[in-house]
Amino acid sequence: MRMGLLKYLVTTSLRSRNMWFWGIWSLFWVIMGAFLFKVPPIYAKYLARDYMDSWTVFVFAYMPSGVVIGYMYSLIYGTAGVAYLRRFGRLTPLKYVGSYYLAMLIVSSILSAITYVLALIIMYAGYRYHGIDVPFSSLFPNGSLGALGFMGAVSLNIVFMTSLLLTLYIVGLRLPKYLSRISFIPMLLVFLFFYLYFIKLNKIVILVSPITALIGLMYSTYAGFNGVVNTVMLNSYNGTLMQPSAIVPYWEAALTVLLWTIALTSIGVKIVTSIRYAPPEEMREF
Amino acid sequence: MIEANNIKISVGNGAFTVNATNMSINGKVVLLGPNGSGKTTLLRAMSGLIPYEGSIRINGVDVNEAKGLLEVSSNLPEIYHIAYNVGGLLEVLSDLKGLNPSSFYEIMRRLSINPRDVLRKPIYALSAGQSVLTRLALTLASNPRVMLIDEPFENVDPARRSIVVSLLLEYGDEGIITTHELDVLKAFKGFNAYLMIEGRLHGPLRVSDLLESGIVEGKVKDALLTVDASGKTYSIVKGNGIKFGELGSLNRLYGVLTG
Repeated sequence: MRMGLLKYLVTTSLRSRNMWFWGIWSLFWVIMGAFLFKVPPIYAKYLARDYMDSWTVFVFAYMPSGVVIGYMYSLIYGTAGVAYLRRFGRLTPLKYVGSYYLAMLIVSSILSAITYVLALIIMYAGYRYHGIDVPFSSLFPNGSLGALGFMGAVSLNIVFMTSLLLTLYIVGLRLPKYLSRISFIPMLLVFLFFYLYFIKLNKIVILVSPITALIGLMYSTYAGFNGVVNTVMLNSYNGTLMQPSAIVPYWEAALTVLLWTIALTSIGVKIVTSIRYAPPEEMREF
Repeated sequence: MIEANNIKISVGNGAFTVNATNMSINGKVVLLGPNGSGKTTLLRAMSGLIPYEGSIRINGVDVNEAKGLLEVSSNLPEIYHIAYNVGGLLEVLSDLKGLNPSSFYEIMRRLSINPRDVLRKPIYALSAGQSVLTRLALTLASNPRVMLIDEPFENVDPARRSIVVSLLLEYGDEGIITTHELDVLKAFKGFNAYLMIEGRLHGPLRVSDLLESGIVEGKVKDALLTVDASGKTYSIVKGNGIKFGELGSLNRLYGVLTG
């Protein structure tokens, strides 16, 4: 089976300066966490991983939402091609949607891997800068199981963001003049739900909100909790700590995200069959 | 075979409509009309890009229901926005349209364009002429049986126009070639022609007959065709009136009629 569309999406994305911008820019928060804020030195020995975790999770949640912006424009510009190639080519809704899923997964994973290595180095340098001595390995995920769980949660987040992209694509086609704002919705949602996690959440919020569930999954697996916790942030700025406690089993949070992903993808697949040419010029506001 | 029955295409929230009551194409035809007459709109509908009322069938398949009909190929520019650069288009269309890259390179070389010069170029960075020729090469490189070709001579220099003509004669068994350039018509003398005037389709008539004909005001007995334009009726008649072959471009039609 030829994968021309997938290959094209991956290669052009990896050559795109914008994609790299979102990858590198997301490190801004790690730099803040490493140099501007810090774990109170007396806790550093115990909380180095959790502190690294809380900043890294934001980066991993945030980055795919930046990649979504690039793909959104690619989708909007390709409407005529989709309408034509569905009728007079080998393009099927599954192939189209599948290519975008795999491309998002491959590109975001590559960016995530590179960003993670850089984040580790930055955070370690931050500890040294503050004169706090912690072992480099204390920044890693909690054991191989934690690392695997974390990678799974990161992948799930990318897949969910793709389903959100497809849904927003439909909205963008209906409201082309608002496309520039629509494409930033995933990023705004990540900000909103991440900072929501500063407070102690109850189980319902995590089970209803997919982005909350994803942030919880990423944070909890990295730190090695035995379930999704009710708060992620170590509020180290004023020296107080909020102690997270696991309140949702991993499988329940993952199921929440999967159900949302399936629902949003179904809408996306259905809409591909009815796409007509939408001139990109319609995006102009004046 | 391309069949269109009782077509009505509205664009710009009904600001402009294209109407075609009956069109049955077996072989290649030329669709002539001034700029803005509705030729491209009709081709967009036939390519499945925009909605229409009525029925358009290509080789017996309704365009709205068509799936995987690889034998149909179009050069409409908006289709080629599916990728950012020419290399990307080659990649995507090889997969999704059965395009043969070797054929693409060969056609480009025949058009005196080095494929390497355009492969990495974004579509928008191609010159107007390069864009027309590159899209034509991409269209033909899938070896279509049915071609829907929009303005293949627009912005193309005279030397390359003859190569474009050869390619259009060589490739495909059926299809529509739209143009407003009448000076290339001699090459298509054996084809039928349709006229699109102010959103209304007229024809067919033989290109050879059209070239020997002229246009006169009013309804004339034994006219090859009668058309309405700018609220008046005109007849295309053999031997009399302003000769089509001397107009150069159909864009001059309105000026000549109203002048």
